[in-house]
Amino acid sequence: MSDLLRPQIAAVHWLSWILRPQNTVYSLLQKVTNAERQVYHQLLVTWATVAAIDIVLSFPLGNLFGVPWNNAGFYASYFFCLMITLAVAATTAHFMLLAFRLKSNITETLIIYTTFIVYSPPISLFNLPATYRTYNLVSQIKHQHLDLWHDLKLALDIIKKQPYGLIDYLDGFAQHGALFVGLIATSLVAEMLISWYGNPRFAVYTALALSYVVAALVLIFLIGPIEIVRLYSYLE
Amino acid sequence: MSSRWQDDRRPTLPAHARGMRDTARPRKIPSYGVPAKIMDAMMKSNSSESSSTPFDLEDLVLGALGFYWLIFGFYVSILVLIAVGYLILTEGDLLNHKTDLVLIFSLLAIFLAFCQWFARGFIEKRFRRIATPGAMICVYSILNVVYGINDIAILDNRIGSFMTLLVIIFTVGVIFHKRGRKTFNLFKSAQYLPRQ
Repeated sequence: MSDLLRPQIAAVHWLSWILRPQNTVYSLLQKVTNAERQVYHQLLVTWATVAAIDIVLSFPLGNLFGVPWNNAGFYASYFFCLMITLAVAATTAHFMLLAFRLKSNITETLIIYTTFIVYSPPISLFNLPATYRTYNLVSQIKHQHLDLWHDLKLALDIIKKQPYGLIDYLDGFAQHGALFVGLIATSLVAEMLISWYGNPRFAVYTALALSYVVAALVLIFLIGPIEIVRLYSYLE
Repeated sequence: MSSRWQDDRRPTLPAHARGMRDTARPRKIPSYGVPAKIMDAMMKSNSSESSSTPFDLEDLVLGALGFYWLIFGFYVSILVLIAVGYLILTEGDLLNHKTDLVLIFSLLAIFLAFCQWFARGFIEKRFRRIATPGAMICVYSILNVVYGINDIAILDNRIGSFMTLLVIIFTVGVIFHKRGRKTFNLFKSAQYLPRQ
């Protein structure tokens, strides 16, 4: 068994990527020509570690809404949705760079983009109040026996009539934190893309921004319905 | 390879060749592997040797601010386009609303151009000296967007209007004031000097 597959090693690797992003990225980039397969393996393990940490962070909330930590259906689908999200976001960034006629190699760009992915758990942590609000809304919609597809207008009314509580204020502040970490992580990725390929600055930033928009639109149609059905079927 | 991004203001040499960043050719990268050497790297990260990072915090923060404006512009544009598309589909009488459509698209183009210009200013460090007020404007925008989405009345209308007035006075003052115009050199080309 590869050492990377041990949870503690994978977690330490993820931590080292967070603490020393540039060194980790460049050491992997230097390995690309020699052992591309090994690099992909390492990337996949890092992504899986990130997804696993995200899932563990959502355990308490899940439990609060009647989903125990060992509910494989709920968390396995969450895991695969996360992995698909990461893969779509990373490949969109690569293709957007190519669309802008910038230099990009799929393996190298995936390695660099993983820097954004490793900062995903702190962002998820900041997003916990938002997750709580979402779970709460879905739970209420389910409690009122509304059909999600046919009574969408009624469901939206419930959302509008929500009284503001502490969690909403917490969410307002936490979103700043998530935004800050996300923007800095994106900036880190852009700077690495600029320095590694020698691409022009503004073009790289524009390509990344457009790739986020395109990825978000793709994911809304690809993952959105699955996420709604997942939450609606498991939350109590 | 030529592209529309590579105008003649930019040096054609690759980044590492013109000495912009030492990171392009990472010579002193510790070749720690997995798993044992990662532990060494983790240990080293606490030492003073590893405390020097090639990326400036200024680069990252300014890049982040620029990126925020890019995303903001794209998302607002897409939302407006979706709303216009929805109205056209539901109303159906496109011919009667030609002037409105032209007006909406013109305003959208101006807004998008402003966002791009502002983002470029941050990303290419055209107004690094006023990064702090720029950041203030961004923080104010973020606050408005976040609280606008959440519909939370922390910033009530009075505070919001007062802050908007302050930001407008400050921006106009900086652009038209003599000293401000000197530092706020938005209309000059970006300088790509190698970092010493």
